[in-house]
Amino acid sequence: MDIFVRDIWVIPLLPLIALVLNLFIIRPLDVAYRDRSAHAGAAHDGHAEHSSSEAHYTAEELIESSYVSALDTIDGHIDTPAAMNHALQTAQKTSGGKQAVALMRQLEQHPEHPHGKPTIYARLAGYVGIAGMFGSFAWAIGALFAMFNNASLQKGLTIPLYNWLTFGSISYHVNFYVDSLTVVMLVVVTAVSVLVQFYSQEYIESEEPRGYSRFFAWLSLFAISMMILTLSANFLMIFIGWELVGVSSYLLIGFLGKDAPKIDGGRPSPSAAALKAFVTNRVGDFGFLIGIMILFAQTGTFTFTEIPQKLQGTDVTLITAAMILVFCGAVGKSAQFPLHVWLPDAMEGPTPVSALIHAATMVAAGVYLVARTFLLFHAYAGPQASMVVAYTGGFTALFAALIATVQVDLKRVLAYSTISQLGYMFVGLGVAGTDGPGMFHLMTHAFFKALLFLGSGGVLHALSGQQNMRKMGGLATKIPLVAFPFLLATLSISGMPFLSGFFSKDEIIAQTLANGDVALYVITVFTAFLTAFYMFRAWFLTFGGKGGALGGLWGGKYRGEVHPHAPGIRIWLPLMLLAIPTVFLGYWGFAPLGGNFNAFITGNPAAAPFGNPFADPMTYVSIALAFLGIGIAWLMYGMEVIPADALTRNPVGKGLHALFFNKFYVDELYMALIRFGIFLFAKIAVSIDKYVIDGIINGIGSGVLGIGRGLRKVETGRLQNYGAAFFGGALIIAAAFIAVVYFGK
Amino acid sequence: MSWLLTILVFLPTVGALAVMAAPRGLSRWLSAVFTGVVFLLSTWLYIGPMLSSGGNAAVFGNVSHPYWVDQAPWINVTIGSLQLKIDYHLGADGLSIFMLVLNALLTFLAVLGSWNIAKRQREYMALLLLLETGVMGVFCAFDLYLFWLFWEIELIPMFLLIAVWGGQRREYAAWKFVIYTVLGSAIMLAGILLLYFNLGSQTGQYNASFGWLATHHVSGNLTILGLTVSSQLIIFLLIYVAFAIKLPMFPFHTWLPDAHTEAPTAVSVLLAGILLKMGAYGLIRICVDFMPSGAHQFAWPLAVLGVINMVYGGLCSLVQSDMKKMIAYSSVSHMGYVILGVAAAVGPGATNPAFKEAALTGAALQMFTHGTITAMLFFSVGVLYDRAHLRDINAFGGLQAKMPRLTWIYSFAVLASLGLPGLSGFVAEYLVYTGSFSTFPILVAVSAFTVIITAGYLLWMLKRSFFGPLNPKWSGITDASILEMTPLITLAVLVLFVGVFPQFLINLLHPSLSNIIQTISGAVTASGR
Repeated sequence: MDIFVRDIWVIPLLPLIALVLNLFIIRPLDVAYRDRSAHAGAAHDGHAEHSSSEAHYTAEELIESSYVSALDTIDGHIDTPAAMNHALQTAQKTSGGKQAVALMRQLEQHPEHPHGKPTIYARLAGYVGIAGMFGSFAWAIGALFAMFNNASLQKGLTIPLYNWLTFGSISYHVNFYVDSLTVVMLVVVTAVSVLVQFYSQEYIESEEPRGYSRFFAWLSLFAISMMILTLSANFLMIFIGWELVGVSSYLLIGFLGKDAPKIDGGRPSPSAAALKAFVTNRVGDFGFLIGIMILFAQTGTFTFTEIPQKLQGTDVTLITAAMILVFCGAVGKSAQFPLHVWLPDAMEGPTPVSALIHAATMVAAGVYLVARTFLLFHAYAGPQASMVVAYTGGFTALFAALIATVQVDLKRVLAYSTISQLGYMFVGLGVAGTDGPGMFHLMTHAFFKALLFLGSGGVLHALSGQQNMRKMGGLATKIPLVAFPFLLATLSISGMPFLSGFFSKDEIIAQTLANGDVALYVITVFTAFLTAFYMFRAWFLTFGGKGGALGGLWGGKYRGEVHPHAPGIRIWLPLMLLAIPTVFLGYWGFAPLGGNFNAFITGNPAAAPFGNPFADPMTYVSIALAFLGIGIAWLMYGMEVIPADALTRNPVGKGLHALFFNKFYVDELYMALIRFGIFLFAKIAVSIDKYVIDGIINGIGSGVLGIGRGLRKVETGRLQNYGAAFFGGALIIAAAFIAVVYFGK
Repeated sequence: MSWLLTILVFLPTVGALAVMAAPRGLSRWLSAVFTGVVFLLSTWLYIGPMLSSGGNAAVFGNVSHPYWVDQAPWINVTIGSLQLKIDYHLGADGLSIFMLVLNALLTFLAVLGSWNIAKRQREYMALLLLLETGVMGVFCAFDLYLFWLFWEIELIPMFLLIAVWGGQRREYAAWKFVIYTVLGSAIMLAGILLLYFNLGSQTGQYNASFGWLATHHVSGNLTILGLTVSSQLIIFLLIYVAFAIKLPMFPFHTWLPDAHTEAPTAVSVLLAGILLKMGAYGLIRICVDFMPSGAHQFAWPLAVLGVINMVYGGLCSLVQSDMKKMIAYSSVSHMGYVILGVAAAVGPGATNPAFKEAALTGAALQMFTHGTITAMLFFSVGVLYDRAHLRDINAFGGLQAKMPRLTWIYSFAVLASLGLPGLSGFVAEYLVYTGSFSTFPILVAVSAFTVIITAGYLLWMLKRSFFGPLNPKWSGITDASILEMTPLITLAVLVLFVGVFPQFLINLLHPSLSNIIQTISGAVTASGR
């Protein structure tokens, strides 16, 4: 059994094999197969053109006109695969065979055109990816149970791989480290990954079949990177994983490579979103890197287990500064204020990616980093370090929740919700004496938030890409297989008792009070109220609404135009499976039933379990607030007895609404800073080059060139002339210099 | 004496003569054969000792005892009290081998990359081969005069390659390159002469071989224009000027954007990939090793200038609209890492020499990293330029749809350039940062800002040119051919391999670099600082 822990490297190896197979064997076959069929089509078409005498010109013109008219018929909405196919059908009806073929070719060249179905090889890439991922998941479960069996394994085990270099007392090791924290994270990562990959088969097939195999390659790349991050034994390895998940995220956000339809208003293009995500993360990494450097300069090691003992006697202020800088990395990766701006934009990536990377796993890496270095934060750095963690988290939780209350884009609501929930985790890590509460919330959140995102993907899939909640409503009766698990997850995140989210969130709220931090208590409990409100607002706007069953909870009036189509099993099955941890996982931390997550994660059997929430009177305050939030949402958006604009009729409400809706104008502020800060410096730098340095050089140059004007026709010049000139020139100047040294005394 | 180094240096010259003698149609084939053979020979420099020693990299030796030596007496004249002794002395330890192989590889790839050059192909190929001789000579000359000779020889073919085969403003760019470089090498020659005669009069033995210079350092002061300065510092500065220009170091860098922009693709590749490394190599091999306390005294300004390079170069890249110019400025930024790493190695606060060696190793790896990755970037831009005859970043858009292969490899190069882990750039940057921090904490923290800017300008460029909706103007553009992809893929494999297993290069460099670190700590201890 222990082999699952000792040979934990199997977990990243399996997706690595899948990635290599995909990139070097399957994907080339996929591309070649696609190219061949495209060529066959083109040759056929060319033949047809040759048979008619005036073919070339006329055909071009016909293609042009029929293409334009086809575009006209569908009123410019050529942004979804469905619309694209619709255009083709229209053309086939209106202009007959040849023009339709021509139009098909035109459409194929259109960058947004989905090239039919994925090839057999593309599907194979998917199967290989899923198989590898499932193997990793099974291995991670094996490791989890090995640790249950043999508690000594929870303490941690270093698995050396190789060494970059060792000079004297310093070394750069590439090592893995596994303890209970690692295993919990690995189970979360592999479980969500395998479900998301399974789900992606259907989602990507309709969204971007051309990129099917590429998509699975990037998912495998992400999985490997995330596992390296999770398994890292030192700051070098975690930074490697850190950057690699960043680049996987970059590649996957920009995956669709087409601009969002303008009808949704002001959405960034996927490529812009990808750029923003990467660069914003780099801002955090800037601090992270400096933090690592401080610790390394003090201790000569990157290894998590060695740093503490080697820090003995180091100035506490320096350690505090180092840990706050390390935390900057977490702020970037986990999208905390003020580096949260990339995550909402990252929603331009395909929805399975949003679920996996931008909700469940990668964004939690910052939380994992703090948990991994928990000892340094709490025992070695001054109390300010933990304070910074807790208050950054608390502020972000509230800040993002306020924004989430007024967004109209379903995925954006979920994105802000993710930011807010990550804030909770940091509060947990900042105030509690162990990393238990924070990691517990990370784990439950990973499952219910993945479920929410995959559910929203189900909605988008059903509505051909519509994300605007104003164009939804009453979908519960139309896609019940998506709606039911989505409702469970909504209840869970809203803090409904007996569901996972309730246990983990309430433990964090309880810890703020236990720590005597009333301000954080008020923030977190108020945010819990907001969470319940905005999540149910989203629920009612999407799935419920006036006229639905149970006062608008289930079904209602549908406001969109697209006919919703039901998803297949590859979409709804992962949702159902995710519903299981969404409901039951919380009991791992429920002491009355023997759950002691805290003891497992800390590797200390004597660690006290989380408090029984039902024994704590303050819990009922949170529960009441959650019900209040749900109730208000129900009245406003379910039964619609309170008009939705009730609060925004007065100027204060209107102003606040604008402030929240525009995300507190942080993006605008940053754009101004970049434009008038960085770019100003850059332009100054270029001017120095152009006018100062080159001014001097051109001055010298014109003198020399004045002499050398006879050499202008360089093409006729002979090699030895230049040789003589360069050598001679150099010798003369050198002689002059020597003369200055010797005779200038 | 194996003659291997001699063959390596002069085989390209033979090749150049053969190309000129043979019919025009054969010139590119002949060049490919010659550079290919040279590349294979150069790999033997690494493989041979590894096989004979059973994989122990210590066998490569250091500047005093290099594994490969070709030596013969050459010039020995005595004029009165002046003795001038120049040996034909080639040598190669780990540091040299590393650069020799890189040069051989990049020149071979440059020939492949110039396969379809139309204008005076024969002369072009011959000049590429001559350039290879010059650069090979620089990297394995173990006599200071010989070094200078090769340094000058390399200049001529490069000047002509830019001036004849360059773009619109090729003459301006070529002359600017020449003015900078000739000025630099003239000052370097003055420094070399000073070093030679001062050391000669101090030790009674006139010798310019590297092994001698590395173990015998100039002492005392020199008076220059009425100012008394330590001889080592003044000689360091005189010789370093040439290297600073080549590197290029702020404020001597402005020749680079022009030369890069105007040079044909393959020449840009060699310019960035190899010629800039001559400056870095000279800094480590000559300036630091022969004038350690001079370098030590100059460590602070050197570090500051290195950081300026990194940040300033990055900022300039941010606002370029010409792709090649942007990459040229990114070279300025990336070469700053080399300067910073070297400055940290010779800098104050020698608490733990291991940090210094990490920094120096990082600087040396950055030479390799920048050479390969920037070569990839230039090759990619070359592919684009051949088709579009444009390099304006904003003129493209959505090329991904039409050029998936090029997008792939270009993105790979961009990610490598911005220091993605798993690729070689990360190893070098990480070593420089973590190794330098204990010496220059504040400066290094400031320089880390570069990681943001680099990601910004590179990915922004990628976004504007390759992603987003396709600019209809380019709907007919074709993807990179197999021939064009060959150099790119070769380099990508190398970058990936070194990124994952950097230890094979680090071990190769270690004997040379640890020797230099010892020299530095010896000198610093002796000077009581």
